[in-house]
Formats: sequence, C-alpha cells, structure tokens
Amino acid sequence: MGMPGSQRTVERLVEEHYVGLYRYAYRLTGSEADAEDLTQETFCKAQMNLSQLRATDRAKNWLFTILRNAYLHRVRTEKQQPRSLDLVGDVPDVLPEPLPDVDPDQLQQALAELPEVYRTPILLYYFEEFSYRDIAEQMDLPIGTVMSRLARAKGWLRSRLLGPDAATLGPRPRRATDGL
Amino acid sequence: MDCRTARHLLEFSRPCASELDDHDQDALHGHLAVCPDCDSTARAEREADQHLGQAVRDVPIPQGLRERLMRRLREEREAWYRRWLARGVRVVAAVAAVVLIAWFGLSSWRKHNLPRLDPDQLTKVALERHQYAPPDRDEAEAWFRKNGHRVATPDDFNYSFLFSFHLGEFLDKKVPCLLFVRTDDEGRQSQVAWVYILSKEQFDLKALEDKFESPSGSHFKSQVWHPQPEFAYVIVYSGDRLDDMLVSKKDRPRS
Repeated sequence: MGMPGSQRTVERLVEEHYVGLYRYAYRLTGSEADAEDLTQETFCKAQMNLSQLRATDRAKNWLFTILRNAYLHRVRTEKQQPRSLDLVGDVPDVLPEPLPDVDPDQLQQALAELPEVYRTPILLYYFEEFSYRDIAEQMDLPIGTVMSRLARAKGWLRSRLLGPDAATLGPRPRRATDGL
Repeated sequence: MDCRTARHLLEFSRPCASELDDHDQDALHGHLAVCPDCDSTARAEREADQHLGQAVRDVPIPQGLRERLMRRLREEREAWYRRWLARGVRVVAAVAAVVLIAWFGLSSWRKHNLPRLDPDQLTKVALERHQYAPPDRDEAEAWFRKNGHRVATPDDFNYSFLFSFHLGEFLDKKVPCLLFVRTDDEGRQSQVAWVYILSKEQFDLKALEDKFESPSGSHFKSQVWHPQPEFAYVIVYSGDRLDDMLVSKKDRPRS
C-alpha cells in the first residue's frame, strides 16, 4: 500500500460520491451502521490506493467496485454463503394499475433475500444507473450474464413488491435474456 | 422492425443510460409509435423501473455522515504518517545499530588480527625499500641544472665513487654538493669526500688561488680548487690523502 493520495482529490471524491455509495451500501447490508462502516472503509481504501485510479471519469465505477469487494469480503468472513435464486419467480407479464407504493421495510427484506450476485446488478441498475458494461466490469462478468441476472432480479422484486397479482398474471413472458 | 426485435431492443433502452446507438433507438421509437402492444409494454416496463428505482434510491442519508467520513479519512491519513515516521525512525535506528556493531566488530577483529612479524620478511621488506643505485656524473649535473644551478663538476674525481648529490648549505647559500664514498675490497667505507661547487654567480671567486690545501686537519681535511674562473670547488675529505678518490689525467673522461 502506497502513501495516501492527495487530500484535495480524496475530499472531492467524498463530496461527489458519498451519497451514492452510502445508499448502495445500505441496500447491500440493510443496516445504517454497516452501510456507514462500509462507506468509510471504501473511502479509506480509495485514499490509500488513489494511484490505482487511472482516469478520474472512472472514479464512480472504481469506488463502487471497492465497496462491493469490501462487502463481499465481510460476507465471506461472516461465512454467509450466497443462496441460489431458485426461489426467484418468473417476471410478471402485467403490472397492476396504478403501481402500489413500495413499503421500505418490504423492499429491504426483498433485497436481503436476493443472493448478492443478483442484488448487486439490480442496485447498480436502479439507483446509480450504471450501464450494463459498467456493471459487468464491476462484477467481472459477461454482459449477457449481467442482463440475465438483472431480468431475474427485477422479476423477483416485482413479484415481491408490486402486489401479488403482478407476480401471478399470465404465463411467463418471452424475455430477451432467455437463453443467455 | 417487428415486435420481437422491438421487445429485444427494449432491454437495452433505458431513459438515462440507453445502450442503443442512435439508429436502433430511432428504429425502436418508430416501432413503438405504430405498435400499441409494444408501446404499452415499454411504458409498463419504464413505469415499473421508475417506481422500483425510486424506492430503491429512497435511502435517507444520516446526519453528519459527510463530516464523519472526512474526519475518519483525516485520522487514517495522520495515522499513516505517524506509522511512516515511526517506521523511518526504526529503520534509521536499525541501520545505526548495524553500523555500530560492524564498526566495533571490525575494530575488535583488527585488534586481534595484527600482522605477525617474521624477521626474514622484515629484512626483505626493509631492504626492498632501500635499494640503492649509485648515481652518475651526468645525472647529478642534470639534477643541479633542473634546480637552477649551472655547474661544471670537477674532472679529477673518480665518479665510480659518487654516492649521492644534493644542495648543501655553504656560507648561508644553497650550493651543489657531491658526496664521494670509497670502499675497500670488503665493501667497508674507507674514505668520504664532499665537494661543494661554488659559482661566480653566487660568490666572488677572483681572490682564490688555483689550488689551496688547509695546513691542518683533525678528522677531516679540506682543499679548495679554482681551475676555471666560473667555478671553485671546496673539498672536505677523510683520510690522509685525496689521491685515491681521483683519476689519473689520462683516465679523465672529459678534458
């Protein structure tokens, strides 16, 4: 580990990304304390490894990757084995009108039940609007795999959060990601 | 564009981060404009995404989070510098200790490993440092000239006895001086003679006779030769007579 990066650069990174990183961490962990801890750990690692950041326009991707790796490290340390997504249902064909309000606790519960390999892409997809390529890069996966997981994770969340009818409406639709 | 392609492209069409190029995006929009089924699906997808996305993003940020992050980073930075300084001090101390130990070790080793003296070797080394090659007359004259003294060495001396030459003190002046040493058959020194060469540039030689011999002498005797106007030779010698140091006129190397 080298010497700490420029204080000004690190502070700018905090200003620009701490909100997004905290939200990501919160959705990953489901706990305010863990999310704050993870966010701090991410910035500390970034500060000590700033020389690894080649292009500043990739800072966001870089920071989210650090955070995810830190989270995975904790999960492994705590011996939490990832679950399979056999429990994930099919994507509902028709959604209710109007869409029901999402209960925050239910949302977090649904996210917590998602295995990490599905949770990460859906979080990155929804609230940080990373491109499929960015998500694939962060997770070190082919884009096709990312899209497949996204489709299944979306179906899971919709079936859990957008009403019981939504999850049971009609047969499983044909998805572009089928067969990926 | 058919519906199957449109549904496929919808996967890549996101309001904020579309993965489609302009051509595909335009084609998709064109299809949605004329296909109510696909348009309805697209709207439903978008609305669901926006709905869930908004819910996912809706995470309250704790009060003072930014300040706590900044403080923690500052503390980490300061701790790093403290560790770095401590490590630097330890390294310097370790290096100093190693140098000190090495120095003491070397000193001690040297003290206990002084060279043992071997008499044969000592005499050999001593003699090597004092090897002697007798000078010749030309060498002596060249050295005097090089040191600023114009000289003419006396022709009468046997230069095989020349032992050394130097600038000697004479009447408070530095003058060229030759030392002759004659040895007997067994190599023992039997006679010495110093010849001081006085030049007219240094002394007024006019009053000198051609040859003058001191009437008495204790251990040494002395003669003054003045064979030519430019130079005079003051000779101090041991023994009764100087003749054994001289060459006969027919053997003189120079006229």
